[in-house]
Amino acid sequence: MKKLISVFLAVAMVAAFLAGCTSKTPNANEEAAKIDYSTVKIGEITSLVVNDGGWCQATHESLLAAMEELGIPKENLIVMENVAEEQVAVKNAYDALAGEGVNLIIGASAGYATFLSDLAAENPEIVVAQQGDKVDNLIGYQIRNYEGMFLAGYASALMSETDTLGFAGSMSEASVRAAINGYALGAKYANPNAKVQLVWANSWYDVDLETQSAKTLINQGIKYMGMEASSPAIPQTCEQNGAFCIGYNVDMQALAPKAVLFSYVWNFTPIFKNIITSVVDGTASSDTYYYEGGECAKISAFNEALVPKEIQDKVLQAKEDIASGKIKVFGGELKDNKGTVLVAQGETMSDDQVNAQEFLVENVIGSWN
Amino acid sequence: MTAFLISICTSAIVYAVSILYASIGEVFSQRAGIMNLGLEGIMLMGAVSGFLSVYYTKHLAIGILVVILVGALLGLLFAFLTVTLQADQTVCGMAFLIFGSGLSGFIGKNVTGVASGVKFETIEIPLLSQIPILGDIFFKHDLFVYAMYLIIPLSMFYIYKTRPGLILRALGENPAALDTSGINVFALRYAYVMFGCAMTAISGACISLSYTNFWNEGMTGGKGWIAFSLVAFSRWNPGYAALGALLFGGISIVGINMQVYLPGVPSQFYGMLPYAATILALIITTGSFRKKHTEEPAALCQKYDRESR
Amino acid sequence: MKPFSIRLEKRQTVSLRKQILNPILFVLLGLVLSSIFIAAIGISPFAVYAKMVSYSFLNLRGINGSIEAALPLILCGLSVALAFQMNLNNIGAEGQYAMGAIFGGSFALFGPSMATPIQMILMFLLCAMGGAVWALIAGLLKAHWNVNETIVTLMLNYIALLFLDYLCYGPWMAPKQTTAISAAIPKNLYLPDIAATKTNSGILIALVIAIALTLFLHYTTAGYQIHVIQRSVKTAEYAGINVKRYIILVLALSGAIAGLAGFVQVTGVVHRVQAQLPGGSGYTGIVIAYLSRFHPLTVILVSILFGGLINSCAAVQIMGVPSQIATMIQGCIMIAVIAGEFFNHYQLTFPTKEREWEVNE
Repeated sequence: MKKLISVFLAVAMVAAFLAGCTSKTPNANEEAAKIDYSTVKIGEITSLVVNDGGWCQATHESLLAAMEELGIPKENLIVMENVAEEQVAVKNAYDALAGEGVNLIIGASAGYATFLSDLAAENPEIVVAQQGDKVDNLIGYQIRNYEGMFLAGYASALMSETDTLGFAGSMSEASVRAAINGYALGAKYANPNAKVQLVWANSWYDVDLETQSAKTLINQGIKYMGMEASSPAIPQTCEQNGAFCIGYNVDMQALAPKAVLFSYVWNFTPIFKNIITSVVDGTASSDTYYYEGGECAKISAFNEALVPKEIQDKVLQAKEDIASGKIKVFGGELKDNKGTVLVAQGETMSDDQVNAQEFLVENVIGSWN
Repeated sequence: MTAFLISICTSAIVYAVSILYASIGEVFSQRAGIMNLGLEGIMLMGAVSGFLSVYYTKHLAIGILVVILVGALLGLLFAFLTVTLQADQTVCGMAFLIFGSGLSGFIGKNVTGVASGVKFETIEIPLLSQIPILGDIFFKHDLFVYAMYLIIPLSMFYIYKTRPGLILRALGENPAALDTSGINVFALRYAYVMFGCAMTAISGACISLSYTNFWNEGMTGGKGWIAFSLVAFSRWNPGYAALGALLFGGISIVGINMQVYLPGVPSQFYGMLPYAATILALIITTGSFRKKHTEEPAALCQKYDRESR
Repeated sequence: MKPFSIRLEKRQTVSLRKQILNPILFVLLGLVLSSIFIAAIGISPFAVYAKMVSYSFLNLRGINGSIEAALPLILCGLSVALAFQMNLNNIGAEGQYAMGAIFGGSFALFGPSMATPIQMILMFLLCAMGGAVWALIAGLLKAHWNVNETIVTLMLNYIALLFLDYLCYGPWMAPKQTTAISAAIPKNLYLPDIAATKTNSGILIALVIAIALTLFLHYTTAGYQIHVIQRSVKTAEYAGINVKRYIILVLALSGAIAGLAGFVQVTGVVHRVQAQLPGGSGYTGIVIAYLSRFHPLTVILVSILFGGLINSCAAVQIMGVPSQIATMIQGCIMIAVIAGEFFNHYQLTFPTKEREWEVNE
């Protein structure tokens, strides 16, 4: 990193010097500050393919959007797909990217953190941004998905005639629990009696288990459910059984138009723009941590055929209220589903605790460990 | 409660059918003396080829035809290696597993995660679907399931009651004797292996054309292995294979439901249930303490070579 | 003589030269086969292969990487190769590896601290034990009730992996960690690199095991008896060999070796226990064992080649080749080599040229 900064400083000084010598233009500093982003080379490491219809696709599309907005040509991005979350594979992908002279590597799965951290420490010239918790040597980034999922739960509870909603989870990981808790709290905001029945598939991607999770919920008489899963199996199962769900990762309406009310969509674009800018202007520091909500925890357009206008309006209002701080998702009083008080009345949960999510809120039926 | 039971039963049927095509295909192949361990790879090839053709043509019939063709072609290659070249069958199976999963990901890369728009829809059979409970369980499915209702009895009839079935059983028991009686062992084995692989490919298509309407790398998620396990477990009998598949599907579905009814147990342990049950059932049905003929085709996995007859 | 101009003849013996040349020839054929698919997406197969070789084998970093990627493959390959000496299909190396990591990991993470060598040895033994225990289930069932070991080991894979999942997502998960990975094991349990070349010293462990296995199979009574059983169980029983005991022994040993994959991986590479640890090595091990014709030392060589192939897939992605290429090439090579095996035992002869009695070396 230091080297990069010094290179930029040197370039800026030479430019300033030359400008000063020849034409004596007064705005030399301005010119030096106007940086051409198109020279930055970016590497992306993903655990599946970039068009997986889920998590990897959401990350990849965000990155492409950020690059486009900054005027970086697509060719400057090198993607490593299907990189397993294990040491040898990650190191190898990193080496290959380093060999291509990338300035920035984006690790698009939380599972890479431990390994990329060691590699970044060895080679500080390449900035590494990593999804997930803050880890040494890496710029961390994560989205407050619970904000979007709050809206998902809120909408589901407004739509549902019964008090019980469902949630189909993949693996019990912090960001997944955040999605569940956000969903449950949103449901409670709409209906104080709302309960959320949780079912785990115990797999990041398994068409069968996801189908069966959705069926299990539907068997309970549940008609509206949230999901944190990668395949379109849950929306499609809902569609076949007359149930509804909120899509996850990317907009899933096209895959199950009769079941998906709207989708929670990861929008990393603003974060990636910040990271790329900081890399190019040399201010990037591995102490930075992006933990963003708002537009990053985005919801897609509503399915007009399924969601009545007044519910749409209410959801959008809630969205504004979250942004303005009127709704505090993890605000007190907040209890977990074992009865322990997590946050006292009038207080808000610390980001550390929000990030770790080692609880399920009061109205979730299920366990996390 | 009835609604719940109906739902579990229908889910179990749908699950069972998606592995039964492969299992029954493998029953025929093993009865002919050729074991194919690589069902998973062939299923993936079936899933991707079916999806690709439906995605581009929007015709399900074309999709199924392509699937059968791809399966049969892979079968031809498998038979060439194991029958003509007499290669080790376990390893050939592994090669097909790896080849199939690699190639399916390779050729399906561009259509990952998008919907094809068409899939096999549920058809309610008139009258029959009106029967209370049974109608809901058995007669509100898609064509894959209905076809399976016919395939199970037909395949049992074929194996146990017809002359070609008798020859098929002999093919796996004593190919040399067949050969001397003037039957072309090699040609028959080719035919059965190709049939088995085509059926396996249809199993894959169940997942990309009926279960869902998309494709993703490795989406069969280990079903090929389950299908393979069912064959020995069912003692090479399609009827028992069907029971086994229902049992496996039922247990895994009940396992997920247990999360709701019996919370507090880590859900991974419920996930282990179907596998543990398979081992248990395998011990009960094939354990030698039964002192019964195992029914394993005697020539299974044996190289057959006319010269060393 | 029949009117055919070409006919197949069975070779009586296969010379060493042929044994070596044949697989190489057919590996090349496999590469030709896969180049069809690569060319189909508009990329030059030569460029791809050249890049693969130069990335993984023509520099020290690449070689070290290939060796590191090969470590679990070697041990799983050896495990499968050993079981195959008795015609036992152990496709459970994956689960045995996971159990090895679980047994060893529990000691490394929660065990008492002792003198480093003792700790290392204990950890080593525990990993081996974990794998052995897991394979033993299949071994006992096979020996006593003749239950199909292929299926039992396969099912045990799923159970072991789910158990590893449970531990890594549950009680073992490192604090403040969002993925299924444990805390790092104590530093004194890290396997040191070979100083001069920075090569992972796990390769030495693998080498020792491979040599020990070769000696065991070729120079001990047990090895000889295993060989007799492989030839014919009936003969063995007739000769008074306790076949049951050998089934149990060989499967347990085979499991122990697979469990050691957990040892080299946890102490030498990852330094943590992780849910994704086995990642299919157990299955690739079967392929490797076969391609090496079940020779322990060849397993090492083939594994390193495979390790390099897997690693180089990152380098060729830069050229726009889909990431599935490594798996696809593996499949093509396997099919070609399997087909090639036939020509080790048979020979095409051309009677018209009167060379049909050419000596078959």
